[in-house]
Amino acid sequence: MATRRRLVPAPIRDVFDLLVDYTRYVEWAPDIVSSTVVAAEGDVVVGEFQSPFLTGEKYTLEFVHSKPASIVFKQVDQHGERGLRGGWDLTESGPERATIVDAALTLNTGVLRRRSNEARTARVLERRLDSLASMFAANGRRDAQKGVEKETFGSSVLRLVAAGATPQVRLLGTTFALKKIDG
Amino acid sequence: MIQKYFKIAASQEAIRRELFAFETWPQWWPGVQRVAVLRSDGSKSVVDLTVKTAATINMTVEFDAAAPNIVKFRQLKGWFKSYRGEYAMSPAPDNAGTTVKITIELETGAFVPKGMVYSKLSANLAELGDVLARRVLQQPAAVNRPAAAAAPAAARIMAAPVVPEARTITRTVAHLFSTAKGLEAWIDGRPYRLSAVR
Repeated sequence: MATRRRLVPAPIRDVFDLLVDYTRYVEWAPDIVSSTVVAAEGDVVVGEFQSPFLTGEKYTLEFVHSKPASIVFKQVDQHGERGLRGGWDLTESGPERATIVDAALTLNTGVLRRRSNEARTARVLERRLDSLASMFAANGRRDAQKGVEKETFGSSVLRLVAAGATPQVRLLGTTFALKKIDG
Repeated sequence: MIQKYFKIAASQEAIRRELFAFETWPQWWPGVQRVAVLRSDGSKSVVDLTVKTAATINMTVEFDAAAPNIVKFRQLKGWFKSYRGEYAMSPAPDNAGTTVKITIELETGAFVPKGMVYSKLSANLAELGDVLARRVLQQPAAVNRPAAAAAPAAARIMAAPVVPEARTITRTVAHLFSTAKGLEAWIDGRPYRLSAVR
Protein backbone atom coordinates (compact mmCIF):
# COMPACT_ATOMS: atom_id res chain seq x y z
CA MET A 1 0.00 0.00 0.00
CA ALA A 2 1.36 3.43 -0.94
CA THR A 3 1.41 5.92 1.92
CA ARG A 4 2.31 9.58 2.01
CA ARG A 5 2.30 12.32 4.66
CA ARG A 6 1.99 16.06 4.12
CA LEU A 7 1.47 19.16 6.26
CA VAL A 8 -1.46 21.13 4.87
CA PRO A 9 -1.80 24.79 5.92
CA ALA A 10 -5.45 24.68 6.98
CA PRO A 11 -7.55 23.74 10.00
CA ILE A 12 -8.48 20.07 10.27
CA ARG A 13 -12.21 20.71 9.72
CA ASP A 14 -11.55 22.57 6.44
CA VAL A 15 -9.36 19.75 5.16
CA PHE A 16 -11.91 17.13 6.21
CA ASP A 17 -14.77 19.06 4.58
CA LEU A 18 -12.90 19.25 1.28
CA LEU A 19 -11.93 15.58 1.34
CA VAL A 20 -15.54 14.47 1.88
CA ASP A 21 -16.91 16.80 -0.80
CA TYR A 22 -16.54 14.14 -3.49
CA THR A 23 -18.06 16.11 -6.34
CA ARG A 24 -15.21 18.64 -5.94
CA TYR A 25 -12.47 16.09 -6.58
CA VAL A 26 -12.50 17.16 -10.24
CA GLU A 27 -11.35 20.62 -9.10
CA TRP A 28 -8.27 19.60 -7.16
CA ALA A 29 -7.33 15.93 -7.60
CA PRO A 30 -5.21 15.94 -10.78
CA ASP A 31 -6.02 12.35 -11.78
CA ILE A 32 -9.80 12.61 -11.40
CA VAL A 33 -11.80 13.61 -14.49
CA SER A 34 -15.29 12.81 -13.22
CA SER A 35 -16.76 12.40 -9.76
CA THR A 36 -20.30 12.10 -8.51
CA VAL A 37 -22.04 11.04 -5.31
CA VAL A 38 -24.48 8.21 -5.98
CA ALA A 39 -25.64 7.42 -2.44
CA ALA A 40 -25.29 8.90 1.03
CA GLU A 41 -26.57 7.74 4.38
CA GLY A 42 -25.14 9.18 7.57
CA ASP A 43 -21.39 8.68 7.64
CA VAL A 44 -21.37 6.37 4.66
CA VAL A 45 -21.13 7.88 1.19
CA VAL A 46 -20.79 6.14 -2.16
CA GLY A 47 -19.16 7.96 -5.05
CA GLU A 48 -18.39 7.13 -8.66
CA PHE A 49 -15.07 8.33 -10.07
CA GLN A 50 -12.98 8.17 -13.18
CA SER A 51 -9.20 8.30 -12.97
CA PRO A 52 -7.72 7.41 -16.39
CA PHE A 53 -4.24 6.97 -14.91
CA LEU A 54 -5.37 4.51 -12.22
CA THR A 55 -8.04 2.46 -13.96
CA GLY A 56 -9.54 2.69 -17.42
CA GLU A 57 -13.12 2.24 -16.25
CA LYS A 58 -15.23 4.26 -13.86
CA TYR A 59 -15.15 2.82 -10.35
CA THR A 60 -17.34 3.02 -7.27
CA LEU A 61 -15.96 3.71 -3.81
CA GLU A 62 -17.72 3.43 -0.47
CA PHE A 63 -16.43 5.95 2.10
CA VAL A 64 -16.87 5.76 5.86
CA HIS A 65 -16.33 9.05 7.69
CA SER A 66 -15.19 9.59 11.28
CA LYS A 67 -15.41 13.34 11.51
CA PRO A 68 -13.01 15.11 11.51
CA ALA A 69 -10.11 12.70 11.77
CA SER A 70 -10.51 9.84 9.34
CA ILE A 71 -12.01 8.63 6.09
CA VAL A 72 -11.62 5.07 4.89
CA PHE A 73 -12.73 3.80 1.52
CA LYS A 74 -12.90 0.68 -0.59
CA GLN A 75 -14.05 -0.15 -4.08
CA VAL A 76 -17.37 -1.98 -4.03
CA ASP A 77 -17.83 -2.85 -7.70
CA GLN A 78 -15.01 -5.41 -7.53
CA HIS A 79 -15.07 -8.64 -5.60
CA GLY A 80 -12.98 -9.72 -2.64
CA GLU A 81 -9.74 -7.81 -2.16
CA ARG A 82 -9.57 -6.54 -5.74
CA GLY A 83 -9.84 -2.89 -6.62
CA LEU A 84 -8.93 0.29 -4.78
CA ARG A 85 -8.88 0.86 -1.06
CA GLY A 86 -7.28 3.38 1.23
CA GLY A 87 -7.90 6.24 3.56
CA TRP A 88 -7.13 9.71 4.84
CA ASP A 89 -6.02 10.29 8.42
CA LEU A 90 -5.96 13.85 9.70
CA THR A 91 -4.16 15.17 12.78
CA GLU A 92 -4.14 18.73 14.09
CA SER A 93 -0.67 20.16 14.03
CA GLY A 94 -0.08 22.41 17.02
CA PRO A 95 -1.12 26.02 17.26
CA GLU A 96 -0.48 27.07 13.65
CA ARG A 97 -3.85 25.81 12.40
CA ALA A 98 -2.25 23.27 10.12
CA THR A 99 -3.15 19.62 9.55
CA ILE A 100 -0.97 16.57 9.06
CA VAL A 101 -2.54 14.49 6.33
CA ASP A 102 -1.65 10.80 6.10
CA ALA A 103 -2.91 9.26 2.91
CA ALA A 104 -2.95 5.61 1.86
CA LEU A 105 -3.96 3.98 -1.38
CA THR A 106 -3.67 0.53 -2.89
CA LEU A 107 -4.86 -0.93 -6.16
CA ASN A 108 -5.16 -4.68 -6.45
CA THR A 109 -5.71 -6.03 -9.95
CA GLY A 110 -3.89 -9.32 -9.44
CA VAL A 111 -0.26 -10.40 -9.32
CA LEU A 112 0.76 -9.35 -12.83
CA ARG A 113 0.46 -5.58 -12.42
CA ARG A 114 1.51 -5.29 -8.78
CA ARG A 115 4.64 -3.19 -9.35
CA SER A 116 2.96 -0.95 -11.86
CA ASN A 117 -0.03 -0.42 -9.56
CA GLU A 118 2.26 0.45 -6.65
CA ALA A 119 4.06 3.06 -8.76
CA ARG A 120 0.81 4.53 -10.02
CA THR A 121 -0.88 4.78 -6.63
CA ALA A 122 2.26 6.35 -5.12
CA ARG A 123 2.38 8.98 -7.87
CA VAL A 124 -1.34 9.71 -7.54
CA LEU A 125 -1.09 10.11 -3.76
CA GLU A 126 1.93 12.39 -4.09
CA ARG A 127 0.18 14.66 -6.57
CA ARG A 128 -3.13 14.70 -4.74
CA LEU A 129 -1.32 15.84 -1.62
CA ASP A 130 0.69 18.43 -3.59
CA SER A 131 -2.53 19.76 -5.02
CA LEU A 132 -4.36 19.73 -1.69
CA ALA A 133 -1.52 21.60 0.04
CA SER A 134 -1.18 24.20 -2.73
CA MET A 135 -4.95 24.73 -2.85
CA PHE A 136 -5.10 25.57 0.84
CA ALA A 137 -1.92 27.64 0.60
CA ALA A 138 -3.50 29.64 -2.25
CA ASN A 139 -6.71 30.07 -0.21
CA GLY A 140 -4.60 31.35 2.70
CA ARG A 141 -2.82 33.88 0.48
CA ARG A 142 -6.15 35.02 -0.93
CA ASP A 143 -7.58 35.44 2.57
CA ALA A 144 -4.50 37.44 3.57
CA GLN A 145 -4.69 39.70 0.52
CA LYS A 146 -8.34 40.38 -0.17
CA GLY A 147 -8.92 41.36 -3.76
CA VAL A 148 -5.98 39.42 -5.14
CA GLU A 149 -7.24 36.86 -7.65
CA LYS A 150 -6.53 33.24 -6.92
CA GLU A 151 -3.97 31.84 -9.32
CA THR A 152 -5.51 29.39 -11.70
CA PHE A 153 -3.91 27.02 -14.07
CA GLY A 154 -6.14 25.73 -16.78
CA SER A 155 -6.41 24.95 -20.44
CA SER A 156 -6.19 28.66 -21.33
CA VAL A 157 -2.68 28.83 -19.89
CA LEU A 158 -1.50 25.47 -21.16
CA ARG A 159 -2.14 25.56 -24.91
CA LEU A 160 -1.61 22.55 -27.16
CA VAL A 161 0.51 23.74 -30.08
CA ALA A 162 1.40 20.43 -31.78
CA ALA A 163 -0.43 17.11 -31.54
CA GLY A 164 1.00 13.77 -32.67
CA ALA A 165 3.57 11.36 -31.29
CA THR A 166 5.25 14.07 -29.21
CA PRO A 167 2.64 16.69 -28.39
CA GLN A 168 3.88 20.14 -27.48
CA VAL A 169 2.34 22.77 -25.27
CA ARG A 170 2.92 26.47 -24.89
CA LEU A 171 3.19 27.56 -21.28
CA LEU A 172 4.04 31.10 -20.14
CA GLY A 173 5.96 31.92 -23.32
CA THR A 174 7.92 28.66 -23.58
CA THR A 175 7.21 25.62 -25.73
CA PHE A 176 7.46 22.26 -23.97
CA ALA A 177 7.39 18.71 -25.33
CA LEU A 178 5.10 16.36 -23.38
CA LYS A 179 6.30 12.88 -22.58
CA LYS A 180 3.69 10.53 -21.13
CA ILE A 181 4.49 9.04 -17.74
CA ASP A 182 3.36 5.43 -17.58
CA GLY A 183 4.02 4.23 -14.06
CA MET B 1 -20.09 -10.00 -3.00
CA ILE B 2 -20.14 -7.30 -5.63
CA GLN B 3 -22.07 -4.03 -5.59
CA LYS B 4 -22.88 -1.58 -8.33
CA TYR B 5 -24.53 1.79 -7.96
CA PHE B 6 -26.00 3.95 -10.66
CA LYS B 7 -28.02 7.10 -10.69
CA ILE B 8 -30.94 7.41 -13.12
CA ALA B 9 -32.91 10.62 -13.63
CA ALA B 10 -36.27 8.88 -13.24
CA SER B 11 -38.68 7.81 -10.53
CA GLN B 12 -38.43 4.53 -8.66
CA GLU B 13 -41.73 3.48 -10.23
CA ALA B 14 -40.39 3.91 -13.77
CA ILE B 15 -37.26 1.88 -12.98
CA ARG B 16 -39.21 -0.80 -11.19
CA ARG B 17 -41.55 -1.10 -14.18
CA GLU B 18 -38.61 -1.81 -16.52
CA LEU B 19 -37.00 -4.26 -14.12
CA PHE B 20 -40.25 -6.21 -13.86
CA ALA B 21 -41.00 -6.28 -17.59
CA PHE B 22 -39.17 -9.63 -17.77
CA GLU B 23 -40.28 -10.40 -21.35
CA THR B 24 -38.49 -7.27 -22.64
CA TRP B 25 -35.13 -8.14 -21.10
CA PRO B 26 -33.68 -9.83 -24.21
CA GLN B 27 -34.23 -6.52 -26.07
CA TRP B 28 -31.99 -4.50 -23.78
CA TRP B 29 -30.42 -6.35 -20.82
CA PRO B 30 -26.76 -7.11 -21.70
CA GLY B 31 -26.27 -10.84 -22.23
CA VAL B 32 -29.89 -11.91 -21.68
CA GLN B 33 -30.95 -14.08 -24.62
CA ARG B 34 -34.22 -15.70 -23.52
CA VAL B 35 -36.76 -15.18 -20.76
CA ALA B 36 -39.79 -17.26 -19.84
CA VAL B 37 -42.00 -16.29 -16.91
CA LEU B 38 -42.91 -19.56 -15.20
CA ARG B 39 -45.01 -18.17 -12.38
CA SER B 40 -46.16 -14.78 -11.14
CA ASP B 41 -48.31 -14.30 -8.07
CA GLY B 42 -48.51 -11.19 -5.93
CA SER B 43 -45.04 -9.87 -5.28
CA LYS B 44 -43.17 -13.01 -6.39
CA SER B 45 -42.20 -14.11 -9.89
CA VAL B 46 -40.24 -17.13 -11.06
CA VAL B 47 -38.38 -16.68 -14.33
CA ASP B 48 -36.38 -19.00 -16.55
CA LEU B 49 -33.38 -17.19 -18.10
CA THR B 50 -30.71 -17.89 -20.69
CA VAL B 51 -27.76 -15.55 -20.26
CA LYS B 52 -24.59 -15.34 -22.33
CA THR B 53 -21.57 -14.12 -20.37
CA ALA B 54 -18.32 -16.11 -20.25
CA ALA B 55 -20.49 -19.11 -21.21
CA THR B 56 -24.15 -19.53 -22.06
CA ILE B 57 -25.99 -20.37 -18.86
CA ASN B 58 -29.54 -21.31 -17.98
CA MET B 59 -31.00 -20.48 -14.63
CA THR B 60 -34.34 -20.27 -12.87
CA VAL B 61 -34.57 -17.20 -10.67
CA GLU B 62 -37.16 -16.08 -8.14
CA PHE B 63 -37.79 -12.34 -7.77
CA ASP B 64 -39.45 -11.02 -4.62
CA ALA B 65 -40.72 -7.45 -4.55
CA ALA B 66 -42.56 -7.58 -1.24
CA ALA B 67 -40.47 -4.78 0.29
CA PRO B 68 -41.29 -1.29 -1.06
CA ASN B 69 -37.84 -0.27 -2.34
CA ILE B 70 -36.05 -3.58 -2.68
CA VAL B 71 -36.35 -6.40 -5.16
CA LYS B 72 -34.65 -9.56 -3.93
CA PHE B 73 -33.64 -12.38 -6.24
CA ARG B 74 -32.18 -15.85 -5.84
CA GLN B 75 -31.37 -18.73 -8.11
CA LEU B 76 -33.68 -21.70 -7.63
CA LYS B 77 -31.95 -23.87 -10.21
CA GLY B 78 -28.98 -23.27 -12.44
CA TRP B 79 -25.31 -22.98 -13.22
CA PHE B 80 -24.05 -21.43 -9.99
CA LYS B 81 -23.76 -23.19 -6.67
CA SER B 82 -25.68 -20.22 -5.28
CA TYR B 83 -26.67 -16.85 -6.73
CA ARG B 84 -28.65 -14.22 -4.89
CA GLY B 85 -28.86 -10.50 -4.40
CA GLU B 86 -31.08 -7.45 -4.57
CA TYR B 87 -31.89 -4.24 -6.39
CA ALA B 88 -32.35 -1.47 -3.84
CA MET B 89 -33.72 1.91 -4.89
CA SER B 90 -33.47 5.16 -2.99
CA PRO B 91 -33.75 8.86 -3.86
CA ALA B 92 -30.49 10.16 -5.37
CA PRO B 93 -28.50 12.35 -2.96
CA ASP B 94 -28.99 15.40 -5.22
CA ASN B 95 -32.75 14.68 -5.49
CA ALA B 96 -32.34 14.31 -9.24
CA GLY B 97 -33.81 10.86 -9.69
CA THR B 98 -33.09 7.50 -8.16
CA THR B 99 -30.00 5.63 -7.08
CA VAL B 100 -30.13 1.92 -7.88
CA LYS B 101 -27.84 -0.31 -5.85
CA ILE B 102 -27.33 -3.82 -7.14
CA THR B 103 -25.81 -6.37 -4.79
CA ILE B 104 -24.88 -9.84 -5.98
CA GLU B 105 -23.46 -12.72 -3.99
CA LEU B 106 -22.53 -15.92 -5.73
CA GLU B 107 -20.72 -19.18 -5.26
CA THR B 108 -19.40 -20.77 -8.39
CA GLY B 109 -18.47 -24.27 -7.25
CA ALA B 110 -15.06 -25.92 -7.36
CA PHE B 111 -14.46 -26.08 -11.11
CA VAL B 112 -15.47 -22.59 -12.18
CA PRO B 113 -12.92 -19.76 -11.67
CA LYS B 114 -14.65 -17.29 -9.38
CA GLY B 115 -12.38 -14.39 -10.41
CA MET B 116 -13.32 -14.76 -14.07
CA VAL B 117 -17.04 -14.92 -13.29
CA TYR B 118 -16.87 -11.84 -11.06
CA SER B 119 -14.84 -9.89 -13.65
CA LYS B 120 -17.40 -10.68 -16.31
CA LEU B 121 -20.23 -9.84 -13.93
CA SER B 122 -18.60 -6.53 -13.02
CA ALA B 123 -18.29 -5.54 -16.69
CA ASN B 124 -21.86 -6.67 -17.30
CA LEU B 125 -23.18 -4.55 -14.41
CA ALA B 126 -21.27 -1.48 -15.62
CA GLU B 127 -22.97 -1.87 -18.99
CA LEU B 128 -26.35 -2.53 -17.35
CA GLY B 129 -26.30 0.87 -15.63
CA ASP B 130 -26.04 2.67 -18.96
CA VAL B 131 -28.60 0.60 -20.83
CA LEU B 132 -31.16 0.65 -18.01
CA ALA B 133 -30.86 4.44 -17.79
CA ARG B 134 -31.33 4.73 -21.57
CA ARG B 135 -34.24 2.31 -21.53
CA VAL B 136 -36.07 4.10 -18.71
CA LEU B 137 -35.47 7.55 -20.16
CA GLN B 138 -36.74 6.45 -23.60
CA GLN B 139 -40.20 5.76 -22.19
CA PRO B 140 -42.88 8.44 -22.74
CA ALA B 141 -42.49 11.39 -20.36
CA ALA B 142 -45.95 10.85 -18.84
CA VAL B 143 -44.99 7.35 -17.83
CA ASN B 144 -41.58 8.41 -16.72
CA ARG B 145 -42.24 11.43 -14.57
CA PRO B 146 -41.99 11.20 -10.81
CA ALA B 147 -45.21 10.47 -8.91
CA ALA B 148 -45.16 13.98 -7.41
CA ALA B 149 -45.45 15.56 -10.86
CA ALA B 150 -48.73 13.76 -11.57
CA ALA B 151 -50.32 14.78 -8.29
CA PRO B 152 -52.67 17.78 -7.86
CA ALA B 153 -50.97 21.17 -7.38
CA ALA B 154 -51.56 21.33 -3.62
CA ALA B 155 -50.15 17.88 -3.15
CA ARG B 156 -47.17 18.77 -5.34
CA ILE B 157 -46.28 21.67 -3.08
CA MET B 158 -46.40 19.38 -0.06
CA ALA B 159 -44.34 16.74 -1.84
CA ALA B 160 -41.72 19.05 -3.32
CA PRO B 161 -38.30 17.84 -2.27
CA VAL B 162 -35.84 20.18 -0.64
CA VAL B 163 -33.35 20.78 -3.41
CA PRO B 164 -29.92 21.84 -2.17
CA GLU B 165 -28.54 25.09 -3.48
CA ALA B 166 -26.93 24.50 -6.87
CA ARG B 167 -23.14 24.80 -6.90
CA THR B 168 -20.88 25.40 -9.80
CA ILE B 169 -18.02 22.95 -9.85
CA THR B 170 -15.46 23.44 -12.57
CA ARG B 171 -13.18 20.61 -13.51
CA THR B 172 -9.55 21.66 -13.67
CA VAL B 173 -8.28 20.31 -16.98
CA ALA B 174 -4.58 20.73 -16.25
CA HIS B 175 -2.41 20.78 -13.14
CA LEU B 176 1.27 21.69 -13.10
CA PHE B 177 3.79 20.45 -10.53
CA SER B 178 7.40 21.38 -10.00
CA THR B 179 9.20 18.15 -9.02
CA ALA B 180 12.80 17.08 -8.42
CA LYS B 181 12.78 15.65 -11.98
CA GLY B 182 11.42 18.82 -13.55
CA LEU B 183 7.99 20.04 -14.51
CA GLU B 184 5.15 17.52 -14.47
CA ALA B 185 1.77 18.32 -15.99
CA TRP B 186 -1.44 16.35 -15.47
CA ILE B 187 -3.74 16.87 -18.39
CA ASP B 188 -7.17 15.24 -18.49
CA GLY B 189 -6.18 12.94 -15.66
CA ARG B 190 -2.88 11.69 -17.11
CA PRO B 191 0.67 12.74 -16.16
CA TYR B 192 3.32 14.08 -18.58
CA ARG B 193 6.92 15.16 -18.15
CA LEU B 194 7.61 18.58 -19.66
CA SER B 195 10.87 19.38 -21.41
CA ALA B 196 11.59 22.73 -23.01
CA VAL B 197 11.90 22.71 -26.81
CA ARG B 198 14.92 24.66 -28.01
